[in-house]
Amino acid sequence: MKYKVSFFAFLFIFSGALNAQDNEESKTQAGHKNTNNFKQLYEEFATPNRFRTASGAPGVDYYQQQVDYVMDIELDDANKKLYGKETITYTNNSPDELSYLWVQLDQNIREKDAPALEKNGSGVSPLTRVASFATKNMKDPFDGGFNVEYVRDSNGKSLKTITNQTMMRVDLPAPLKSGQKFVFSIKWWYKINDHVNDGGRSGYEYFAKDDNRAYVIAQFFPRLAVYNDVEGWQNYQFWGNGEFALNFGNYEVNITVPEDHIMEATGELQNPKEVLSRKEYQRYKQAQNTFDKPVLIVTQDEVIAKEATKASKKSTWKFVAENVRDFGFATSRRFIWDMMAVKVGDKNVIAASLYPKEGNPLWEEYSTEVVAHTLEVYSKFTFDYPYPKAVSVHAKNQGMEYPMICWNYGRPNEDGTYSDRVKYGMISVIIHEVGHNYFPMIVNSDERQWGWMDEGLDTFMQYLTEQELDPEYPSRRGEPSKIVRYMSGDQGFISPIMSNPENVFQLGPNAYGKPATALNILRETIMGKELFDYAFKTYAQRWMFKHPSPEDFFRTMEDASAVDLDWFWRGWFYSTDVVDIGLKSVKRYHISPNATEEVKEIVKNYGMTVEDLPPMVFMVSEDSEEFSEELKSNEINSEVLRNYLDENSADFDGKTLPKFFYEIEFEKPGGIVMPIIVEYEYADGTKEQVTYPVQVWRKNPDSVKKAVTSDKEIIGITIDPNAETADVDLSNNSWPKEEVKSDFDKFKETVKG
Amino acid sequence: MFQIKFFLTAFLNIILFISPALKHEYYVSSTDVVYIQETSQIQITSRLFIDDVEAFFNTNSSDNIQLQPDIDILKIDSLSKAFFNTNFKIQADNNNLKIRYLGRKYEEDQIHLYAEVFIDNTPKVFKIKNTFLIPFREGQKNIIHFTSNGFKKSHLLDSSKLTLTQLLKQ
Repeated sequence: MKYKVSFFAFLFIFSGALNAQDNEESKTQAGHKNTNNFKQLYEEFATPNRFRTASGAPGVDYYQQQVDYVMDIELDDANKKLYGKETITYTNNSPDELSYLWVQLDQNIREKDAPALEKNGSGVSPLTRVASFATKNMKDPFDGGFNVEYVRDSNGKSLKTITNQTMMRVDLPAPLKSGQKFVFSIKWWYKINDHVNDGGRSGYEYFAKDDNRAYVIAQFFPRLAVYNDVEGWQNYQFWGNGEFALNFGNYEVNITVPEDHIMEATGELQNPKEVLSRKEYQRYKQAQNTFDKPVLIVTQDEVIAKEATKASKKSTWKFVAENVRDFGFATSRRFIWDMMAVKVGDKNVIAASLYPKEGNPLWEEYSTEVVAHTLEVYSKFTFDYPYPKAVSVHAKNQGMEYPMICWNYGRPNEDGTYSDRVKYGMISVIIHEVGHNYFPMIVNSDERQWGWMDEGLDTFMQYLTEQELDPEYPSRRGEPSKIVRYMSGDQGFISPIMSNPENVFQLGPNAYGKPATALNILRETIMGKELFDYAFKTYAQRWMFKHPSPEDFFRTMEDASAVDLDWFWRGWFYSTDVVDIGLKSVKRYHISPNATEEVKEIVKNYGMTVEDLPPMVFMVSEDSEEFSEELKSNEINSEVLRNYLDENSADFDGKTLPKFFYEIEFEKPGGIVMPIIVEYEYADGTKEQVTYPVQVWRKNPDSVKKAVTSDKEIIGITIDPNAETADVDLSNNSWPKEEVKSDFDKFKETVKG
Repeated sequence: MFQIKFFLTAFLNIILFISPALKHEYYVSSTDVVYIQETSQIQITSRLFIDDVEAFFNTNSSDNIQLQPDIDILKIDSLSKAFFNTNFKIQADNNNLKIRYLGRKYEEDQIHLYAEVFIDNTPKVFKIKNTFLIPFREGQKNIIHFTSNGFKKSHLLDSSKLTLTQLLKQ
């Protein structure tokens, strides 16, 4: 055979994509930057350095400041005020010299004229309830905010300060060098807010029947802002949605309250014998070694007996907490208190709950048990819970987290009945809030800037915890299909996950639901559980008791698994694109003895005819004009091929040629690239799932063809049969095309008439 | 072994009601309004929290109305229908449309209300008025997702903005 053109040139022409350049116009095309979906995130990430490595781990020069507090706090129950005095020791572990410190004054968000009160738009309503109308237009605004009496150095000399809303700058008398400590003290008081009626992450609830309050106190002390290598001083104002960026340190807090109060707080109680009655102290000791069920330290009957009177004497509860980033406490004469011990790793951890009688019968049955189980499951996936205790406090309409203590809602009706909704809502919020001990209390991310780093990771862990408790558990978040409505909605209401929480519309799905779902997809579908769990644990353990940034998380997950994830972070976290992968066409091909016209044309371009070609196998598509029915026979319609197989049968080990040849074209109307999960259904009723790696979208993000061969006829193809990818449009997921009924149509069918 | 059946709450895709770190309650409803030109049909699906609707039904009644379990079906059917019809109105080119209420369904902690409208001509503009739970719930937000021939627009309504105007893209 005479080959005028190299054999390989023909191979090239017939395999792969043919690109006939049909440039009719001679206009110059505009160029473009690298917009490939698989572009690595070099431009988005900071250049790795000695503080944070390219691996996503703390670098050799990683540092963090330490801030220790010694506080004396007094709660004026009658007047709903809190008085405080603190001595702060600030250790500058940075290599930099600091000339000022920033102190956070979160209560200032409640000042009468706080700009935060005006941060949202509002309109005039044509109708308002009379009580709301009067309050809105006539009542004096709440007179909140810190009243700072002094800020003094360790010699008692006043320090120069300036307050900008919720941030106070303390000008240091001398620059604070690297390694040095600065000690100063602050005295303050503020009015405690009614969190039920006025909102807030802390405050009191008033019980009119017995004229008593239950306090859940937090953000109650001026505390240091974070200074680090990523932000410098993280002094973004507290506007209400962005939460907290805080330093690790040791706390010694003495809290004076009426002596009939019962209190829980961050840290270990140093003087239980002093503040508890003899009976209470006995039970308290007993609880430290009781593992099977909670011990009641203060019972409901005892609380009811207390409600009628108000002690005039005071007692001081002393707590010490090591290596915590914040401090919270709850106190009331209305609290029932139960407690038990839990084994975590080789340590005993105390699980406890505080709740007024309004929380029963729900709380005595579930709260402490749920705390214990949350610690067990989270420990499994990250690290053994390192703190001595975890407490769940009942507070109306609250869901908020502090080291070792959290506030949770869940209140039955007055007659003690409760719906499933109330019960399961309570259990889920306890899991979530206790889980926050891990993210951000210990893996201490910057909540002010990145809401998702703690909320998304915690919500994801919450989902795993729920699934561990009951595999049938229909978790509210985590299932990919549940995020579809949010992601496919009006883009005007959606922001990327990588957004500041102050600036997004739908904060719940944005910072909780979507990142939790994305991590679930990463675990189940992209990486697999083994690789994911190892990488996730690596991240948690690298950054426990440290301050990670988003990149540290992104880098670690890839570094520890060898799964390239830049495309995933880019699509799911940095954009508001959606997943929509569909079937464009399915063509069946047959072996043909003859070359098609297309082949003849191409051969002609090289000045050849078909006869000049080396031995070739020709194929023709069933929907081509050149197809004839007789090609459907079971014979191999190519003499060339039959001869070749006969001559070389030894090489093929008794195997036979596939009977069915398909060209399947997938399309991707959605912006996010994902692996293509395909289920093939065969004529004999069997099914097979095949996953094409996400890399199929490397060169063409809009469509990709796959040549598929089979011994059995394919009668059905479904993309993403198990709803793993959060595909927003299922109408293009099936061949033959299946009509996907909308929720509305399904309902209408059930209506008579 | 700690085994309990969880039927945890689904969430409206708008603002998370059960939001840890929540400062005050969010009251939200979400309504899909889908206009299908080919069949001259408007499909309406409203999603509200059962808690809110139940509390609302109980304000004007001394009976203890409970939406779950769904025992008093006829009574709740009639209350829901009246609730929807009173609070949801739609106009096409300034003509009031007659809405046919189809029914209700529970899905975890939400109640879904379904309704449809058939219109004769392709209108130029829709006006929708939504007063669900206003002023019963302070700060109630009612979101409308309007969809038509592939284009979507969402609108946020509340006590200060009870009506929206939606032009149809040709």
